[in-house]
Amino acid sequence: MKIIFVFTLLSLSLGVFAKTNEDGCLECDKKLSGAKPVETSEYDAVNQAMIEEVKVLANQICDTMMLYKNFGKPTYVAFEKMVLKFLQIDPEDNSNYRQEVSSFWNQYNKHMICTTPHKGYETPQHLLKRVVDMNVTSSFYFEYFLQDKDIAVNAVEWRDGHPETVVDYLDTIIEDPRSEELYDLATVRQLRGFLVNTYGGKKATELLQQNT
Amino acid sequence: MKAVFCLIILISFDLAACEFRSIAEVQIPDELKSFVPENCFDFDQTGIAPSELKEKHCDCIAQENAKYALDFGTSLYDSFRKRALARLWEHHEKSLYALSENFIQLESDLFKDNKEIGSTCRKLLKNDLENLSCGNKETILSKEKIKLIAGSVYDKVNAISEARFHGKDGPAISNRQESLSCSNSDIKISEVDLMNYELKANHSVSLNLKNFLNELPKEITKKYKSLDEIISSDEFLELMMTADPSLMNKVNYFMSEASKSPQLGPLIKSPNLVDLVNDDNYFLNELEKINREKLIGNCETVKKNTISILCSDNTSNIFPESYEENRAIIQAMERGSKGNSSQINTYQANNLSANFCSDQYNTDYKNSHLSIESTYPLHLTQGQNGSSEYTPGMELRKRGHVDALKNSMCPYFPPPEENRERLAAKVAECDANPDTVMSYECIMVKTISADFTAKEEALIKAKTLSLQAQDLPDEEIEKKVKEYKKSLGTDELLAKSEPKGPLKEFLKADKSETQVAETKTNEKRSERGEAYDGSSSAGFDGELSNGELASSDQNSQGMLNRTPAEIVNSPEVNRNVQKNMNDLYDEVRRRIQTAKTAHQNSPLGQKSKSVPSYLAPAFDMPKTASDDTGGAAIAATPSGIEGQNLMPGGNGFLPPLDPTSTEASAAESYNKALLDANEARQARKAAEAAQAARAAGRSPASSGPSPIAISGFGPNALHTEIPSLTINGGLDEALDKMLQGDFDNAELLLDLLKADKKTILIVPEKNPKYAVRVEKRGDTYLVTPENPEMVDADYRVFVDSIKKSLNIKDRFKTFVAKLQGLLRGQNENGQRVPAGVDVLNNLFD
Repeated sequence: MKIIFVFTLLSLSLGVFAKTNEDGCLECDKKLSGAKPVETSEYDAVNQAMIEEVKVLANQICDTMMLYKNFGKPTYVAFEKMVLKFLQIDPEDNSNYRQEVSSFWNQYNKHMICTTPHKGYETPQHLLKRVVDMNVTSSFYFEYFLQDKDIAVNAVEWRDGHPETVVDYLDTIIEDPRSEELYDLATVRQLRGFLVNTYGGKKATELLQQNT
Repeated sequence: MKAVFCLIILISFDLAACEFRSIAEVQIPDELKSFVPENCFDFDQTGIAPSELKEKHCDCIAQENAKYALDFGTSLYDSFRKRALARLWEHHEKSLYALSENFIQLESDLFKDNKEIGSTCRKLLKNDLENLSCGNKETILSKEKIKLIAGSVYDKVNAISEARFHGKDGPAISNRQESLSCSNSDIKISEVDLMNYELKANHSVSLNLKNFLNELPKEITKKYKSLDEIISSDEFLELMMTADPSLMNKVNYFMSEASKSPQLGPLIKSPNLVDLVNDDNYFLNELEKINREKLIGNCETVKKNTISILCSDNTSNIFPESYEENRAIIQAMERGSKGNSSQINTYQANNLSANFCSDQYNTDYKNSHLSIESTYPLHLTQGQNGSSEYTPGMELRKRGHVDALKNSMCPYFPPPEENRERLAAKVAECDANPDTVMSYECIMVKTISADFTAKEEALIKAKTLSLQAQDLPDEEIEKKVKEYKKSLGTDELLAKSEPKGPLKEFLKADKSETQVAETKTNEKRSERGEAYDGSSSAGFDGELSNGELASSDQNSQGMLNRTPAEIVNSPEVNRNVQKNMNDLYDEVRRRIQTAKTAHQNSPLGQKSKSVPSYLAPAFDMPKTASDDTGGAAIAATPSGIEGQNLMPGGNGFLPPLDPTSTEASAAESYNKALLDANEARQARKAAEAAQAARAAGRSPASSGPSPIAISGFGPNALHTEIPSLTINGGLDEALDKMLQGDFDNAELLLDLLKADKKTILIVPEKNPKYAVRVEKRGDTYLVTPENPEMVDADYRVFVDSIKKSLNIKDRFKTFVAKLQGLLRGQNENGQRVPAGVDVLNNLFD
């Protein structure tokens, strides 16, 4: 029994540790200095190329999600399908496709930023915030995105010179008296609660303190 | 051991799932918590699951109900049922309001004769309802009341329709009163006017949709027939991942606008849209069909709902499901309770709680309400109270489509004259920016401008004629005409004569002498400030104040005696409006074509043409014939209008302004935007290109691009997917050199040009950083900077010079044809065809 307890505790701790690293990482794509210079440079080049591709993908996902929303289709379908296409994964051939999507997200979530201007939306805007502004919170977050307990939700976006996570953004909405007319505040509060209590969601300042 | 471990895992998953379930649990409304007499929530709720909480609350309510011994046989219940019916009728009246809109939309000049629908509706709402008896049912309302209210339906639709048609303040219907005035001015515009403009504008918008569908790869439009299927398809997603983002943005913008439009919304959902758009008249026919069906369907539904509400019997379950509805009914009871509010409070607590605790009370009310709402147009149902569909910042949705449209268009309606100038300036701004080809706002202002221009010209012409008839001196006439022009406002431009379509037939029955007399009496009542009950004392609570009804017995003989309404609605003005609209459609078509040409550099078009091809005028300049008002309608500016000579004896129309310079600068800016877009799209290839450059041992040079030429088609040229052509001299010279007696290289080049998915990477020897990729896409070619992150002015010049030099649009095709001829000539004759400069001269002549 003790063994089970220790094993479970160990698994949970590792999970938490891993998630903290993924979520809390502000400079995920930067490597530590001191490694082999040439290899690092090559790695950087490849990684940078990948990041550029992800940025393009993120914008395409945002556009397609908008289109799906306008047609009354679930936006997460556009999200998942496009990531799978990007990763060249056929969900029918790969039963772990959901995990692949999650690990892709966890690695590159910082770069998932919508950059094409759309009337009525802030631009640039991180995809996680865009979803809230699109008022598809329930269907995207609750029916899809947060089904994976290890999904990273702490991407930091610099907005007007200040770091901001989706939790910060939700706080801004909750605190704004005009929000009542614009958002389904109950859902926004619910989302914040879930992000913070269950998914390790943090404010940017907490993350920065954690990293210093 | 393993089993225990698995169990732990399962439990943790279950716990996770539970958290999601709780999101969807019903929350007890705050409103209920504050009800007297007993607060059934005054207990410690900590640790109680929402479902359990609900159970506890409902138990408590049941006990309280028992305490107060309320039953459904009391007079209170009777009162509630009557109020509930009155509440339903309030909603129903909005259907009558909506019906007037259906009628007026079919009065549009765009549509054919639909008179017979008017008489059908008249029969349904007048003949069939005027003696409604409900058979032998034990109805909640008395027989007399039912007859009175049912008989008022036709009169109300009639009065509202006529008032709205003329843009006058109409009878107030429940909580729906059209606001005619613009918020920041005294201008009055009716929703109907705006919707008629929208109807005309839709034709232009539909061209965008057609263009979008035509730009999709054939394999997609062959496989999928509806927009819904297309958007859901994997192929479309792939396209979204490869297409030019700026074009995708436009598509998105258009789809967003179109899906909100009351007219286009249903159209774009057609299951055979892809096939149907090929018919030029499809949209107009479909719009007409939709409007016809909507009108006749709504007339039937209004009749059905009238009977259903009025004939509700004592067994009907008319408890509303929503708290808002219930509250409204009880508030109405309170208003009429005269000090009996505590009893009503008890009833309210009981009733709302019953609503909350049980689902069995509301079927009839709910069904009636749903049926009523089915007749509402989009703007009466959409975004009225911050619905979940609302997107932050998208004011269009928040205020409802028509309200938002009105707010955005009010600044363009004169007076003051500055509004007219603003309209012209906005049109010019739209013209200057080809990206606005899909902008709904631009299409709307152009539509309004086209309409105003034709009407204004006709009014000025009539004024000029009348002044001439007075034998005034020319200078005086000119001065007075100018003054008149300045004074022309929305009232004159939007003035209407009498209905001609289905509304005319519908109103016919009301044009009997008795009814005309009644209308006149009511007008007098209205003048005296008396309220007019449109139902002649019928109705639950509502009173109608009769609006002004425009008189129509004007003399229509001759231009001189015509009123502004008769002039702007005359057949000749309608023809001119139509002509202006046709010009606008043509202009949209041309602009789409221009945009299409531009975007053929994008993967969406799967075609590429040289950017310089639209630096030259990409479409015919507007005609300059003196009777052509299209250009003026679209491109007129205040200064342009002022400067025109309005010939009293001439046609009075303004010659168009020359938009050439605007077009050229627009094309240039578009060109730049396109280049930027391509650069952005190509960003992903940066690392690859940089690596390729590094691998080739090249280093970026600091100077600008070298003169263009191509070499490297020798025996050692790359026979791979990406053969490199190095540049070290004049293009023509290099081609000449390559072709001199070298048929192997000619064949290689031909293969390259003919084959699909081949790419040429042009790398200047001196400046390898200025690499340019020429990609073959079907029959055309895409020219893009290979290192977009390094694009500077020199690089742009270099890319442009390649585009110009290659002139891909036609010369590659010619090149291929001539290469084929060259090689064929050799094979057929067994001789070498003269090569060299002569050949190149032939190739590029």
